Amino acid sequence: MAFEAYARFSSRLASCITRQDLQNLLELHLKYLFNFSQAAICYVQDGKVQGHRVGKVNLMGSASVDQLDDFEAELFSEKIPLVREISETETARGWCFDSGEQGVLLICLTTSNEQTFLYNASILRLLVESLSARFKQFNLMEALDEKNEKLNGALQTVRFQHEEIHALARRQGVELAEKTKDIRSKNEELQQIVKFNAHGVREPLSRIMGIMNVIKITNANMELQELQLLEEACNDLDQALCQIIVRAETKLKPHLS
Amino acid sequence: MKRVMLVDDKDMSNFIMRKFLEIKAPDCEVFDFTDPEGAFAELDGINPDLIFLDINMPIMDGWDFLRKMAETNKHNKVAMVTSSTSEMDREQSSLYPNIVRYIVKPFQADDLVDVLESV
Repeated sequence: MAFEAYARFSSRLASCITRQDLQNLLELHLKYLFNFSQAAICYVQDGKVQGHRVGKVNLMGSASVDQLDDFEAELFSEKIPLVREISETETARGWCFDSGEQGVLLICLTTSNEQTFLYNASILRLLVESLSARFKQFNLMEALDEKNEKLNGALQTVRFQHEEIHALARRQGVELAEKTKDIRSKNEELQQIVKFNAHGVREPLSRIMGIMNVIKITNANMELQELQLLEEACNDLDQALCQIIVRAETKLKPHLS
Repeated sequence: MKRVMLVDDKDMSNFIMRKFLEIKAPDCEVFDFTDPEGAFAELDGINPDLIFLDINMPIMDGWDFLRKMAETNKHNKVAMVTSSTSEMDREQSSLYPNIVRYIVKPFQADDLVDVLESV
Protein backbone atom coordinates (compact mmCIF):
# COMPACT_ATOMS: atom_id res chain seq x y z
CA MET A 1 0.00 0.00 0.00
CA ALA A 2 2.76 2.41 1.03
CA PHE A 3 4.84 1.48 -2.03
CA GLU A 4 1.86 2.04 -4.27
CA ALA A 5 1.41 5.50 -2.70
CA TYR A 6 5.11 6.16 -3.13
CA ALA A 7 4.96 5.07 -6.82
CA ARG A 8 2.16 7.60 -7.40
CA PHE A 9 4.10 10.27 -5.49
CA SER A 10 7.28 9.51 -7.43
CA SER A 11 5.61 9.68 -10.86
CA ARG A 12 4.07 13.07 -10.00
CA LEU A 13 7.39 14.30 -8.57
CA ALA A 14 8.95 13.75 -12.00
CA SER A 15 6.57 16.28 -13.51
CA CYS A 16 7.24 19.00 -10.88
CA ILE A 17 8.87 21.94 -12.60
CA THR A 18 8.77 24.60 -9.88
CA ARG A 19 9.17 24.58 -6.13
CA GLN A 20 5.48 25.50 -5.89
CA ASP A 21 4.63 22.33 -7.89
CA LEU A 22 6.62 20.38 -5.33
CA GLN A 23 4.90 22.12 -2.45
CA ASN A 24 1.50 21.27 -3.96
CA LEU A 25 2.54 17.66 -4.40
CA LEU A 26 3.69 17.41 -0.76
CA GLU A 27 0.44 18.99 0.45
CA LEU A 28 -1.60 16.43 -1.47
CA HIS A 29 0.39 13.21 -1.30
CA LEU A 30 2.77 13.24 1.64
CA LYS A 31 -0.03 12.17 3.97
CA TYR A 32 -0.34 8.85 2.09
CA LEU A 33 3.25 7.95 2.91
CA PHE A 34 3.10 8.43 6.69
CA ASN A 35 0.76 10.02 9.17
CA PHE A 36 1.41 13.49 10.63
CA SER A 37 -0.36 16.69 11.53
CA GLN A 38 2.54 18.85 10.32
CA ALA A 39 5.73 17.96 8.45
CA ALA A 40 8.83 19.69 7.28
CA ILE A 41 11.45 18.63 4.76
CA CYS A 42 14.64 20.67 4.79
CA TYR A 43 17.45 20.40 2.29
CA VAL A 44 20.75 21.67 3.67
CA GLN A 45 23.66 22.44 1.40
CA ASP A 46 26.62 24.79 1.83
CA GLY A 47 25.10 26.18 5.05
CA LYS A 48 21.83 27.11 3.32
CA VAL A 49 18.48 25.58 4.09
CA GLN A 50 15.71 25.11 1.59
CA GLY A 51 12.58 23.36 2.61
CA HIS A 52 8.93 22.66 2.50
CA ARG A 53 6.51 22.54 5.37
CA VAL A 54 3.23 20.80 5.11
CA GLY A 55 0.39 21.71 7.42
CA LYS A 56 0.04 25.05 9.14
CA VAL A 57 3.43 26.30 8.10
CA ASN A 58 3.86 27.69 4.59
CA LEU A 59 6.65 27.09 2.14
CA MET A 60 10.03 27.75 3.64
CA GLY A 61 12.30 30.05 1.73
CA SER A 62 16.07 29.92 1.61
CA ALA A 63 17.59 30.51 5.00
CA SER A 64 20.83 29.83 6.78
CA VAL A 65 21.53 26.97 9.16
CA ASP A 66 21.54 29.55 11.99
CA GLN A 67 17.82 30.07 11.42
CA LEU A 68 16.81 26.46 12.10
CA ASP A 69 14.69 26.06 15.20
CA ASP A 70 16.09 24.21 18.20
CA PHE A 71 14.73 20.83 17.23
CA GLU A 72 15.96 21.12 13.64
CA ALA A 73 19.35 22.41 14.76
CA GLU A 74 19.80 19.52 17.17
CA LEU A 75 18.74 17.06 14.53
CA PHE A 76 21.15 18.54 12.03
CA SER A 77 24.02 18.62 14.47
CA GLU A 78 23.50 15.17 16.07
CA LYS A 79 22.39 13.47 12.84
CA ILE A 80 20.48 10.81 14.72
CA PRO A 81 16.71 10.26 14.79
CA LEU A 82 15.03 12.39 17.45
CA VAL A 83 11.68 12.02 19.23
CA ARG A 84 10.51 14.80 21.51
CA GLU A 85 7.33 15.65 23.34
CA ILE A 86 6.67 19.23 22.28
CA SER A 87 3.61 19.52 24.48
CA GLU A 88 1.18 17.26 26.26
CA THR A 89 -0.57 16.56 23.04
CA GLU A 90 2.18 16.90 20.42
CA THR A 91 5.21 14.78 19.57
CA ALA A 92 7.94 15.69 17.10
CA ARG A 93 9.98 13.08 15.24
CA GLY A 94 12.96 13.86 13.09
CA TRP A 95 15.45 12.11 10.84
CA CYS A 96 18.58 13.47 9.37
CA PHE A 97 19.94 11.95 6.17
CA ASP A 98 23.41 13.37 5.78
CA SER A 99 25.63 12.48 2.83
CA GLY A 100 28.44 14.90 3.75
CA GLU A 101 27.94 17.49 1.01
CA GLN A 102 24.27 17.82 1.68
CA GLY A 103 21.74 16.74 4.24
CA VAL A 104 18.01 16.28 4.36
CA LEU A 105 15.97 16.73 7.53
CA LEU A 106 12.57 15.08 7.73
CA ILE A 107 10.47 16.20 10.66
CA CYS A 108 6.95 15.14 11.56
CA LEU A 109 4.63 16.41 14.24
CA THR A 110 1.90 14.13 15.48
CA THR A 111 -0.85 14.76 18.02
CA SER A 112 -1.75 12.34 20.76
CA ASN A 113 -5.25 11.74 19.48
CA GLU A 114 -3.83 10.50 16.15
CA GLN A 115 -2.99 6.89 15.63
CA THR A 116 0.42 5.63 16.57
CA PHE A 117 3.02 7.01 14.15
CA LEU A 118 3.37 4.51 11.34
CA TYR A 119 6.10 4.63 8.75
CA ASN A 120 8.21 2.45 6.56
CA ALA A 121 11.93 3.21 6.76
CA SER A 122 12.51 2.17 3.14
CA ILE A 123 9.78 4.54 1.96
CA LEU A 124 11.29 7.35 4.02
CA ARG A 125 14.72 6.75 2.52
CA LEU A 126 13.29 6.58 -1.02
CA LEU A 127 11.33 9.77 -0.35
CA VAL A 128 14.38 11.57 0.98
CA GLU A 129 16.56 10.43 -1.94
CA SER A 130 14.07 11.44 -4.58
CA LEU A 131 13.40 14.81 -2.90
CA SER A 132 17.12 15.34 -2.45
CA ALA A 133 17.68 14.73 -6.18
CA ARG A 134 14.82 17.10 -7.01
CA PHE A 135 16.21 19.80 -4.70
CA LYS A 136 19.59 19.43 -6.31
CA GLN A 137 18.00 19.73 -9.75
CA PHE A 138 16.12 22.88 -8.70
CA ASN A 139 19.33 24.40 -7.36
CA LEU A 140 21.22 23.59 -10.54
CA MET A 141 18.44 25.02 -12.68
CA GLU A 142 18.32 28.15 -10.58
CA ALA A 143 22.10 28.52 -10.76
CA LEU A 144 21.85 28.04 -14.51
CA ASP A 145 19.08 30.64 -14.74
CA GLU A 146 21.18 33.04 -12.70
CA LYS A 147 24.19 32.48 -14.95
CA ASN A 148 22.01 32.89 -18.04
CA GLU A 149 20.70 36.14 -16.62
CA LYS A 150 24.24 37.35 -15.98
CA LEU A 151 25.28 36.28 -19.48
CA ASN A 152 22.28 38.10 -20.94
CA GLY A 153 23.25 41.17 -18.95
CA ALA A 154 26.82 40.89 -20.25
CA LEU A 155 25.48 40.37 -23.78
CA GLN A 156 23.36 43.50 -23.45
CA THR A 157 26.41 45.42 -22.22
CA VAL A 158 28.48 44.12 -25.12
CA ARG A 159 25.72 45.04 -27.59
CA PHE A 160 25.40 48.49 -26.08
CA GLN A 161 29.17 49.00 -26.22
CA HIS A 162 29.23 47.65 -29.76
CA GLU A 163 26.59 50.20 -30.76
CA GLU A 164 28.49 52.96 -28.97
CA ILE A 165 31.70 52.02 -30.77
CA HIS A 166 29.85 52.00 -34.09
CA ALA A 167 28.28 55.38 -33.35
CA LEU A 168 31.70 56.73 -32.37
CA ALA A 169 33.26 55.34 -35.54
CA ARG A 170 30.46 56.90 -37.61
CA ARG A 171 30.91 60.26 -35.87
CA GLN A 172 34.68 60.11 -36.38
CA GLY A 173 34.15 59.15 -40.03
CA VAL A 174 31.94 62.18 -40.56
CA GLU A 175 34.37 64.45 -38.72
CA LEU A 176 37.28 63.04 -40.71
CA ALA A 177 35.42 63.58 -43.98
CA GLU A 178 34.61 67.16 -42.97
CA LYS A 179 38.20 67.85 -41.96
CA THR A 180 39.49 66.28 -45.18
CA LYS A 181 37.08 68.43 -47.17
CA ASP A 182 38.21 71.49 -45.23
CA ILE A 183 41.90 70.69 -45.80
CA ARG A 184 41.26 70.05 -49.50
CA SER A 185 39.44 73.35 -49.82
CA LYS A 186 42.29 75.17 -48.03
CA ASN A 187 44.84 73.47 -50.28
CA GLU A 188 42.93 74.63 -53.33
CA GLU A 189 42.77 78.13 -51.91
CA LEU A 190 46.52 78.04 -51.25
CA GLN A 191 47.14 76.91 -54.81
CA GLN A 192 45.02 79.80 -56.05
CA ILE A 193 47.05 82.23 -53.93
CA VAL A 194 50.32 80.74 -55.21
CA LYS A 195 49.08 81.09 -58.78
CA PHE A 196 47.87 84.61 -58.16
CA ASN A 197 51.18 85.63 -56.56
CA ALA A 198 53.17 84.06 -59.36
CA HIS A 199 51.24 85.71 -62.16
CA GLY A 200 49.05 88.49 -60.78
CA VAL A 201 51.63 90.15 -58.54
CA ARG A 202 54.97 89.27 -60.05
CA GLU A 203 53.84 90.02 -63.59
CA PRO A 204 53.27 93.80 -63.24
CA LEU A 205 56.38 94.04 -61.08
CA SER A 206 58.41 92.26 -63.75
CA ARG A 207 57.11 94.74 -66.30
CA ILE A 208 58.26 97.65 -64.13
CA MET A 209 61.67 96.05 -63.71
CA GLY A 210 61.74 95.26 -67.44
CA ILE A 211 61.07 98.85 -68.47
CA MET A 212 63.78 100.00 -66.08
CA ASN A 213 66.15 97.61 -67.84
CA VAL A 214 65.08 99.10 -71.18
CA ILE A 215 65.78 102.62 -69.90
CA LYS A 216 69.18 101.52 -68.62
CA ILE A 217 70.17 99.72 -71.79
CA THR A 218 69.06 102.52 -74.11
CA ASN A 219 70.79 105.01 -71.83
CA ALA A 220 68.12 107.50 -72.72
CA ASN A 221 65.78 109.78 -70.90
CA MET A 222 62.42 108.29 -70.08
CA GLU A 223 60.07 108.86 -72.97
CA LEU A 224 56.35 109.53 -72.57
CA GLN A 225 55.42 106.06 -73.94
CA GLU A 226 57.70 104.36 -71.42
CA LEU A 227 56.32 106.52 -68.64
CA GLN A 228 52.74 105.56 -69.57
CA LEU A 229 53.66 101.87 -69.65
CA LEU A 230 55.35 102.20 -66.30
CA GLU A 231 52.27 103.87 -64.85
CA GLU A 232 50.07 101.09 -66.24
CA ALA A 233 52.27 98.43 -64.63
CA CYS A 234 52.20 100.27 -61.30
CA ASN A 235 48.38 100.43 -61.41
CA ASP A 236 48.18 96.69 -62.20
CA LEU A 237 50.51 95.92 -59.32
CA ASP A 238 48.47 98.09 -56.96
CA GLN A 239 45.27 96.32 -58.00
CA ALA A 240 46.87 92.91 -57.53
CA LEU A 241 48.01 93.85 -54.01
CA CYS A 242 44.51 95.15 -53.18
CA GLN A 243 43.02 91.87 -54.38
CA ILE A 244 45.37 89.90 -52.12
CA ILE A 245 44.32 92.02 -49.13
CA VAL A 246 40.60 91.52 -49.89
CA ARG A 247 41.04 87.78 -50.41
CA ALA A 248 43.05 87.37 -47.19
CA GLU A 249 40.47 89.37 -45.22
CA THR A 250 37.59 87.29 -46.66
CA LYS A 251 39.34 84.10 -45.56
CA LEU A 252 40.20 85.48 -42.12
CA LYS A 253 36.74 86.88 -41.29
CA PRO A 254 35.06 83.52 -40.36
CA HIS A 255 37.94 82.81 -37.94
CA LEU A 256 37.85 86.27 -36.36
CA SER A 257 34.10 86.45 -35.74
CA MET B 1 67.51 86.63 -90.79
CA LYS B 2 65.67 84.95 -87.91
CA ARG B 3 61.96 85.38 -87.49
CA VAL B 4 60.71 85.87 -83.96
CA MET B 5 57.13 85.83 -82.67
CA LEU B 6 56.22 87.52 -79.38
CA VAL B 7 52.98 86.32 -77.73
CA ASP B 8 52.05 88.18 -74.52
CA ASP B 9 48.72 89.75 -73.62
CA LYS B 10 50.54 92.75 -72.08
CA ASP B 11 51.62 95.41 -74.57
CA MET B 12 54.40 96.47 -72.27
CA SER B 13 56.00 93.02 -72.15
CA ASN B 14 56.08 92.89 -75.94
CA PHE B 15 57.45 96.46 -75.97
CA ILE B 16 60.29 95.51 -73.62
CA MET B 17 61.20 92.40 -75.64
CA ARG B 18 61.03 94.28 -78.93
CA LYS B 19 63.28 97.03 -77.52
CA PHE B 20 65.84 94.47 -76.32
CA LEU B 21 65.81 92.65 -79.66
CA GLU B 22 66.12 95.93 -81.60
CA ILE B 23 69.26 96.72 -79.65
CA LYS B 24 70.82 93.28 -79.28
CA ALA B 25 69.61 91.45 -82.39
CA PRO B 26 68.68 94.09 -84.97
CA ASP B 27 68.86 91.53 -87.79
CA CYS B 28 65.89 89.48 -86.64
CA GLU B 29 62.36 90.10 -87.79
CA VAL B 30 59.88 90.52 -84.91
CA PHE B 31 56.11 89.86 -85.00
CA ASP B 32 54.30 90.69 -81.75
CA PHE B 33 50.80 89.64 -80.67
CA THR B 34 48.72 90.42 -77.56
CA ASP B 35 46.06 88.00 -78.81
CA PRO B 36 47.26 84.34 -78.73
CA GLU B 37 44.49 83.10 -81.04
CA GLY B 38 45.50 85.69 -83.65
CA ALA B 39 49.14 84.64 -83.23
CA PHE B 40 48.23 80.97 -83.74
CA ALA B 41 46.29 81.85 -86.90
CA GLU B 42 49.41 83.56 -88.27
CA LEU B 43 51.79 80.79 -87.24
CA ASP B 44 51.98 79.03 -90.60
CA GLY B 45 52.35 82.27 -92.50
CA ILE B 46 55.12 83.68 -90.35
CA ASN B 47 56.72 80.29 -89.56
CA PRO B 48 58.95 81.77 -86.82
CA ASP B 49 62.32 80.32 -85.77
CA LEU B 50 61.42 81.11 -82.17
CA ILE B 51 58.27 82.01 -80.25
CA PHE B 52 58.55 83.91 -76.96
CA LEU B 53 55.35 82.71 -75.28
CA ASP B 54 53.78 83.99 -72.06
CA ILE B 55 51.95 81.47 -69.83
CA ASN B 56 49.28 83.50 -68.06
CA MET B 57 46.88 84.95 -70.60
CA PRO B 58 43.08 85.19 -70.69
CA ILE B 59 40.92 83.01 -73.02
CA MET B 60 43.87 81.06 -74.44
CA ASP B 61 46.86 80.71 -72.12
CA GLY B 62 50.38 79.55 -72.99
CA TRP B 63 49.59 75.89 -72.25
CA ASP B 64 46.51 75.98 -74.54
CA PHE B 65 48.72 77.46 -77.25
CA LEU B 66 51.27 74.66 -76.84
CA ARG B 67 48.56 71.95 -76.81
CA LYS B 68 47.07 73.34 -79.98
CA MET B 69 50.52 73.37 -81.62
CA ALA B 70 51.01 69.70 -80.68
CA GLU B 71 47.55 68.77 -81.98
CA THR B 72 48.24 70.43 -85.33
CA ASN B 73 51.82 69.13 -85.63
CA LYS B 74 53.51 72.52 -85.44
CA HIS B 75 57.06 72.13 -84.16
CA ASN B 76 58.33 75.73 -83.93
CA LYS B 77 60.74 76.26 -81.05
CA VAL B 78 59.28 77.99 -78.03
CA ALA B 79 60.81 79.94 -75.14
CA MET B 80 58.38 80.25 -72.25
CA VAL B 81 58.48 83.75 -70.79
CA THR B 82 56.67 84.09 -67.51
CA SER B 83 56.61 85.99 -64.28
CA SER B 84 55.84 82.73 -62.46
CA THR B 85 58.55 81.30 -60.25
CA SER B 86 56.27 78.37 -59.41
CA GLU B 87 57.85 74.90 -59.71
CA MET B 88 54.53 73.55 -60.99
CA ASP B 89 54.77 75.72 -64.12
CA ARG B 90 58.42 74.79 -64.66
CA GLU B 91 57.61 71.07 -64.35
CA GLN B 92 54.70 71.37 -66.77
CA SER B 93 56.98 73.00 -69.36
CA SER B 94 59.11 69.84 -69.47
CA LEU B 95 56.16 67.97 -71.03
CA TYR B 96 56.55 69.81 -74.37
CA PRO B 97 59.64 68.85 -76.43
CA ASN B 98 59.62 72.05 -78.54
CA ILE B 99 60.21 74.23 -75.44
CA VAL B 100 63.89 75.21 -75.56
CA ARG B 101 64.04 77.61 -72.60
CA TYR B 102 62.08 78.70 -69.52
CA ILE B 103 62.74 82.41 -68.92
CA VAL B 104 61.52 84.12 -65.75
CA LYS B 105 60.58 87.81 -65.93
CA PRO B 106 62.18 90.27 -65.47
CA PHE B 107 64.92 89.11 -67.82
CA GLN B 108 68.01 90.74 -69.29
CA ALA B 109 68.47 91.49 -72.98
CA ASP B 110 71.25 88.90 -73.10
CA ASP B 111 68.83 86.18 -72.00
CA LEU B 112 66.85 86.72 -75.20
CA VAL B 113 69.93 86.83 -77.38
CA ASP B 114 71.28 83.68 -75.79
CA VAL B 115 68.21 81.63 -76.57
CA LEU B 116 67.83 83.19 -80.01
CA GLU B 117 71.37 82.11 -80.92
CA SER B 118 70.67 78.58 -79.74
CA VAL B 119 67.94 77.93 -82.30
